[in-house]
Amino acid sequence: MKETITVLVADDNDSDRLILSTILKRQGHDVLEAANGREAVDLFTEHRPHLVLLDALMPEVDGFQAARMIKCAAGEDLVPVIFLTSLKDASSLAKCLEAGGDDFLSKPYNRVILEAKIHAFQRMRQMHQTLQNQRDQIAKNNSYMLQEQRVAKAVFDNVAHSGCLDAPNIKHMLSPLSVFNGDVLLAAYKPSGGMHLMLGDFTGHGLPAAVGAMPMAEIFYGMTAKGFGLKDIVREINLKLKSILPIGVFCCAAFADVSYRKGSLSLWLGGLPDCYLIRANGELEVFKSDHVPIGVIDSRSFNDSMFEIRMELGDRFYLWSDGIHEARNLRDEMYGEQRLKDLFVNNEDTEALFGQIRLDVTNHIHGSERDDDITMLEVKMVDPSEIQTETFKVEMGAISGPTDWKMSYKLGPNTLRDFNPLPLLLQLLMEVPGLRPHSGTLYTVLSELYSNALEHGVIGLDSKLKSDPRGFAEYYQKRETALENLNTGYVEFTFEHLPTVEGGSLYVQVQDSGEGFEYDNESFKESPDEGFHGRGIPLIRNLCKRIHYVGAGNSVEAEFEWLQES
Amino acid sequence: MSDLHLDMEALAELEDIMEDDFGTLLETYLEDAESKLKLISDALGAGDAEALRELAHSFKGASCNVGALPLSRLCEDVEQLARLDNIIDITPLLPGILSEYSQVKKILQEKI
Repeated sequence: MKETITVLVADDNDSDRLILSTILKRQGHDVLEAANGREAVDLFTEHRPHLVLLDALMPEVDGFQAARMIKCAAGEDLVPVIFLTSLKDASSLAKCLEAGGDDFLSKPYNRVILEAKIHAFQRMRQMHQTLQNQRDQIAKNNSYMLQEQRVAKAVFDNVAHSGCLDAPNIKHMLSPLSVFNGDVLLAAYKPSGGMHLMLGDFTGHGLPAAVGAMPMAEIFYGMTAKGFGLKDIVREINLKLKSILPIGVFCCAAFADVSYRKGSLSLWLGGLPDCYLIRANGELEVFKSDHVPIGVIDSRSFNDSMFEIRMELGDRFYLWSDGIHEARNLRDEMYGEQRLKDLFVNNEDTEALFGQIRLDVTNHIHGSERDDDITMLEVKMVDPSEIQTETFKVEMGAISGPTDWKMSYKLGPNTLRDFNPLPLLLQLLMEVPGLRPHSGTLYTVLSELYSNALEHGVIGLDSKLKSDPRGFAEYYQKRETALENLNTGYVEFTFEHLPTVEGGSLYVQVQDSGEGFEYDNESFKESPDEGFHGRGIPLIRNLCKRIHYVGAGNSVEAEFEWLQES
Repeated sequence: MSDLHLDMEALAELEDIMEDDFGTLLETYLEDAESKLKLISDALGAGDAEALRELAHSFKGASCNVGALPLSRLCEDVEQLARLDNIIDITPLLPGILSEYSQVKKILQEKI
């Protein structure tokens, strides 16, 4: 297809110019004529021709200068400049190219060659135009995509970061590689006052990674708030991700259940680098991932076993993705595990450690592009009083819902083996509007009485084992084995709720199939720490109106009262 | 023996290209040539090598395009000498150029 273009001809020879314009006009093009370089630049600026034929040697402004000015004025547009020349020496021809010339046409002019060149440059110009259009389209698409990602991220942040990452005993770092990173960091208070933590590193970046993070965060926060145990949560998340993620997309993750009251941390580690625990005295303990990442295997083969770790006040636990290990400097060297470990080994002030790691990694990658997400979390074991748990605000109208009811719920050995009854029971109690503000307290009481009944009653474990770190692990090992082989025994809950003048009263009885123990309800009132073998009774004592053991000690009764707010 | 001074084939092609404008082209060339020769002679008198080089280069190109190849080559000699600042050796070339031009002019005028 022949396209008409506008050609600027600049030559100081009238006859030469006449020949060229005639050839071009005969070929159907529009021609602008200039007798020197200055005129050429002026005409170019005014009419923006598609192609420029420029004599090298001209008065006023010569061809070289004119070519530079025209190229400059053309900006992003491709305007081919063909030098008209009878110059023959190589250095003069090179000078034409240096000035921005794209080709030469030598005298005497040959119309066939001229036409061929014009066609060649037409193709080049069209390609350039296509390229520019596509570039602009890509830039537009990219800005759309970023805009969409910003909106999605705002939604994501509302879901994923509504937790308690800002708790006073937590330090964390999340550095997004793009708008979305592949890393997820979640933290939520349990109804009992402890905390669930999760650090996940999805394969890939951007939207694919964030999509998996959404249900993960929903399940994590939802189930934690309802009182589910961490194992149930990890299983549920694995099941969900396994069913929605495509093959090859999965999430390396760490889940931790921190109990400030018990001074313990349960840890599930799948596919992440080694995690560190630094004791208040500087001693370092390393935990290696012992599970495959989340979203890889089905529920049947999924393993929910955890490290049970005893933590003293001031001990600090660290979770991170491989972003730190793989952070590269300008020479492409990774930060590596050794540098990280050295910081821990040489550390003299654990309070400053987190900041030191951040600084050291930042210094390492100084000036280079980050090539993975750097996500890190430190959790410090503190006294429960230092953790301010969320208070559940409940809109209360007139008393409604069930106020006078009684039920009992008895769990046999098959059920006790791997079922956690607490979320169900808590949900039942939450049907009473007046109890809702006390969900944390009730959960704590129930979980304490239930674990006492199961571990000390049904299984008959000695709580003294838990007093040193080694025994602590042994305790949980024994518990797991005993539960696996459980074939007799029961735990029975009995609840009764009655309305009172000012609110309501809840009576709870928990009875187990164990032998009971020697208790002394009276001495307990005097010195509450003794006589109950670490059964967590002192704590519950403060939360309830009344608590006491009955019979052989395999049955305990607790009473809880709530008042209608006026 | 007009073809000693002009490449008649090139000229025929030019006539083919220019069609009705062929006469105008030749007139334009001749006018331009007269003025260039006057300027060349002036520059030679003034000993202005730079002006000589530019004029000779331009005249060389224009002559080449109309097929006046011997004239074009003479201009190229002037251009080369001027580039070397060699005014002395240019002076003897001028009568040759004028005589060659008058031959070319005679033939072209017949064509007009």
